[in-house]
Formats: sequence, structure tokens, C-alpha cells
Amino acid sequence: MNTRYDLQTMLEELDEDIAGFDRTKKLSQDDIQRRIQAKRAKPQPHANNTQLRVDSPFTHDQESP
Amino acid sequence: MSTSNKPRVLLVDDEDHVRTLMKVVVSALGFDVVAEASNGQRALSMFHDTQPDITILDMNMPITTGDEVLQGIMSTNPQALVIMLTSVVDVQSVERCLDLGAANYIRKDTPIAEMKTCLLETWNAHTTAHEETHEHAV
Amino acid sequence: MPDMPNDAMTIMIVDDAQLNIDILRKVLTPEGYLIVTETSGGAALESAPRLKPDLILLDVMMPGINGFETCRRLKQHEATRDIPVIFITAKTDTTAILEGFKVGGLDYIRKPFEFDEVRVRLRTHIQAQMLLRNNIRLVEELETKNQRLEDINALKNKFLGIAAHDLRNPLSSIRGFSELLMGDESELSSEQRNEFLKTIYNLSDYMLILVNDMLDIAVIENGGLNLRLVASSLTQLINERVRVNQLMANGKHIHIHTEISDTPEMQFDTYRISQVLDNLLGNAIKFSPCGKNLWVSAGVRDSMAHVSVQDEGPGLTDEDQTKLEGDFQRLLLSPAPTAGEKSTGLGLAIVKSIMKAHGGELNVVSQLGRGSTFTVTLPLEHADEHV
Repeated sequence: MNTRYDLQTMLEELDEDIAGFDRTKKLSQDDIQRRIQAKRAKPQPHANNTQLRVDSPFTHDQESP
Repeated sequence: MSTSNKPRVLLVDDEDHVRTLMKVVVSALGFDVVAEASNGQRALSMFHDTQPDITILDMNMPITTGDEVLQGIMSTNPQALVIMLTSVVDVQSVERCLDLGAANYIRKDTPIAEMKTCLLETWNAHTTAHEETHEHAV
Repeated sequence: MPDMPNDAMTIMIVDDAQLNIDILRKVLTPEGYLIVTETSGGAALESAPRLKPDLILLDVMMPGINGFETCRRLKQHEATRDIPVIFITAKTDTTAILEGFKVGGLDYIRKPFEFDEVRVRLRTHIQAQMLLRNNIRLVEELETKNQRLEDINALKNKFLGIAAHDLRNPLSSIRGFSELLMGDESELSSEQRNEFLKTIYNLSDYMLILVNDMLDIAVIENGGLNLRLVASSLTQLINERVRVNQLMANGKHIHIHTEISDTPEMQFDTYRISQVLDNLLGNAIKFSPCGKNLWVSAGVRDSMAHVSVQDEGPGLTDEDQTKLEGDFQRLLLSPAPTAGEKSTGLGLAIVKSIMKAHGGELNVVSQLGRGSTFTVTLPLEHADEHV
């Protein structure tokens, strides 16, 4: 039995557990609203936006005012 | 576009008390609850039958969960206005629903007054965006 | 530095010369080691996995399998791989020493022996070996404790999960309804006000039951179900609980038929067995459609008292029945209460634990669409083997 290895494995498992806990972290209503705002600011994976991206005149207008 | 009609709402939650409460909240905003569903499967068929303006959707439900219902609705009606109302507020669920196209995500323990504001703002933003789309189309 | 353990460290001496063995034994025995000896590499390879010495002193020059080859083979086997090997060699040239290290030797002692050197070297290696052994034990202990913690943590998470969803939701609604009731009075009709108040009452009632069930489960899971055994009449208790539950049954026009034989006076915890009976009767009523029948029977068979509650409810799927067999399980079974009653899903887990603590058990026979029969058994003579 390699003791050092086992301790290392345990530490890694612990890290994974902590990461898992972070993933299930609960969001407050404010957190959620911030996330919604952030998503609206970015291009969204929606049908509408896909059209916009294909439409070059729009993007040109935005890039060179 | 008929603005005289009240916005028509579909309420989806497996718990009676939540629907009772939300019915009062939504009615107070001048919305009209046209259908209620207590599970995800019923929700999907009711959505297609009633074509509501707003769907208020719970996450944790037996058989079909809220995110699955959301996905089902958005795949056929990408313009649909769906607002999640749930106690499930982990990062993954919230991100997933927003990515699927939920217009808003409201915690169930939000005070009624704040909930009303949130619902109204989401509805107004949605109608404004739609009018713009219409203008662009013209 | 760890103390010398009570179980002395074992040193295996392998040398074809009996004289060398005798000398080393004489030097090392006063150090408190246990000495085992072999006179060939082959014999050492044969006995080492069985004897598991803490250290092997291995002569290099031996007829048959020599020391280096013996060491190489020891290092190839799982059982002997970790035993430190120290070579006994007259050769002190670098090549031989390097060869020794290459095949997995840890150190070497020279012939003729310098007694002090032998003692000190061995002491150092034995202490290192003790530290390693201690370390392994600690890691094992840590793993066991960690596992226990993980189990407890999983249970705690289950509880938190219940609290998160099943307490938070009704609580959110209670607050919502209160907020509405506190608002502009003119906005609500008196029917609405009554409906809201009734909903608040029902929700808080459900939450109270859920909290009590959770506390019961917590007590049970910690192995702390302390039964207060008193000699009582089971028959009498069953009749009493049927009477109490009759009210709820009347509300749904459910007929309770009883067939209760006299049971001899026996030892049980009246409070806990009442809880069991109320759970079984309550479930049968909750999950039965209005107007159905319910049979409660009791009798003695094979020195056990049997109490059965049979219903004409929806019955359980195979999946649900499998869930019932598991350990602490929240049983959110497929059928739902038929008149808007609430079920915490913890009741049957509590019933099972209470029966187990009494040396009895809970059994279910169910057919989907036909109904279920829940039977609890209770030994007439209480054995002291409960939780």
C-alpha cells in the first residue's frame, strides 16, 4: 500500500466534492437577475439572433458607426 | 395585434397551493389564467391547446420536469414567453433554463409584491421586443 | 517516534551458515525483536508470505537461489513486496552493492559483523518500518472514519433536500397567502379569505407532520429508538386506533371491516406501535378512493402477532415494492392520495424501523390496480435484539 498515493487520492476526492458542492450552490433572486442581464448582453443562442448574425448589414453597422 | 384582450396565462405546478396562490397574484396583474396543469405532460398538451401568452412553469414535477417542458415548448414555439417559478435554484438548473429560452426565473420564496413586479416587467419587455420585431419586419 | 509496539517486530534472517544466524540472533534478540530464520533463498521465498516478517536480513552468497535473486522474487510478489530487505554481504565492492540496490535491497551489513553497526542500522530501518506501518493504520482509520462521515453526510443531505423542497415550498405559499391577507381587504372576497386561511392551516399542518417524521427518522438513523416496553394488549390498541381513524374514513365513506382475534398480553412500546397502526390505517384511507373497503385483521401465528391492513387502493408497482425493501427510503410512491391529503413519504420508513426495533417486520403484498395488504409482525416474546 502506497501511503502517500492514498492521501493524495483522498485530497483529490475532497477537491471534487467541494467542486460538486459549488455546482449545486443556491442562487439568490439577485444572482439570477444578474445572470439574466449578463445573458441578454451577450448574443443569445436563439433563432432570432442566428438570423442577425447571418445578416451582415447589421453587424457592419454596429462595428463601424 | 389585439391589445384589448388580457394576457392569457398557463399555470404549471404540481402543488395545488402554489397554483391557488399564483392564480390570485396573476389575476391581480390583470392577467387571465386560462389553464392549469399539475404535471409536465399535461402542461405540454395544454400549451398546444390554449397557446397562452405567458406560461408560468415549476421545475420539480413528477414524470416530465419543468426544464423538459420548457424545451418542448421552445422547440415548437421559439417566441413563447415562459417564466420559471421554482424552488430549484442551483446554478446548473438556472443556466440551463435561461439557455433554453426562459424569459425569467423566479424563486418561489420571492415576496408577492416583488413577484408581481418581476412578472409585469417580463411581460412588458416581451411585448416591447415583439413590437420591435414587427416594426423590423415592416 | 512511535513507541515500540506490544507486538514485537519480526526479523527474518536468511543465511546458509548456521553460525551467522546464531551470531545475529544473539545480537538482535536483546533489542526486543522476534527472530525467525531460514537457511536458503527457496525456503525464505516459501515462508515469507506466510510469516510476513517486518524486515528480512538476506545473505547474498547462498547455494541454490542466491540473495539477489531471492530479493528480486520477493519484490515481485504482492505479499512480500513491501518487506524491507537488508543484505548480508562480505563483498563490499561497489558493483555488488549496486546490484543489491537494483534488485530492491534497502541497505547492507558487512561480514564479519560490527555488532554496534548491525544494531544501529537495524534500529533505523525497523523504526522507519514502524512509522510506515503506523501510517498505513492511520490511513485505514481515516478511510473508515471518512466513510462513516460520508454516510452521515449523505443522510444529512437527504434531510436538507427534504427541508429545501418540501418545507420551503409550503412555507413560501404560507407567506404568500399571508401577504395577500394583510393587503388591501377590499380586494378579497370572504370566500377567498377563508380559502387562504384554510390553505395556510393545511400547509402548516403538513409541515408539522413532516418535521415530526424527520425528527423520528433522525432518531432512528442515529440508532436511538429507545423503546419503552410495557406489557399491553395489542388487540385493545388496534381497536382504539381503528376507532380514531374511523373519523377520517367516514369522511371518504370508506368502510373499515375488522377481524381481530385476541392476542395474549405482550411487551411493546404503545406509543410507537400506535404510530405504526396510524400510519398503516392512515395510508390505506388516504390512498383509497371514496366508498371503498378496508380490512383490518389481527391474530397469532408462529409465536408472532400479525396485524394486516388490506385496502382496495391503487396498489403498488414492482418498482415501488422494491423501494419499500430498501433502507431508509423516502417513499414518494406513484399513487397519490385521493382526496388531496398530504403524504410525507416518510411514514413507511418509520414503520419499518419501529417494527425492526421490536424484533418484528413490515411486509407488503400488492397488486397494481387491485390494492395492497400491509402486514406487521410482532414477536410474542420480546428478545433483546432490538436496535
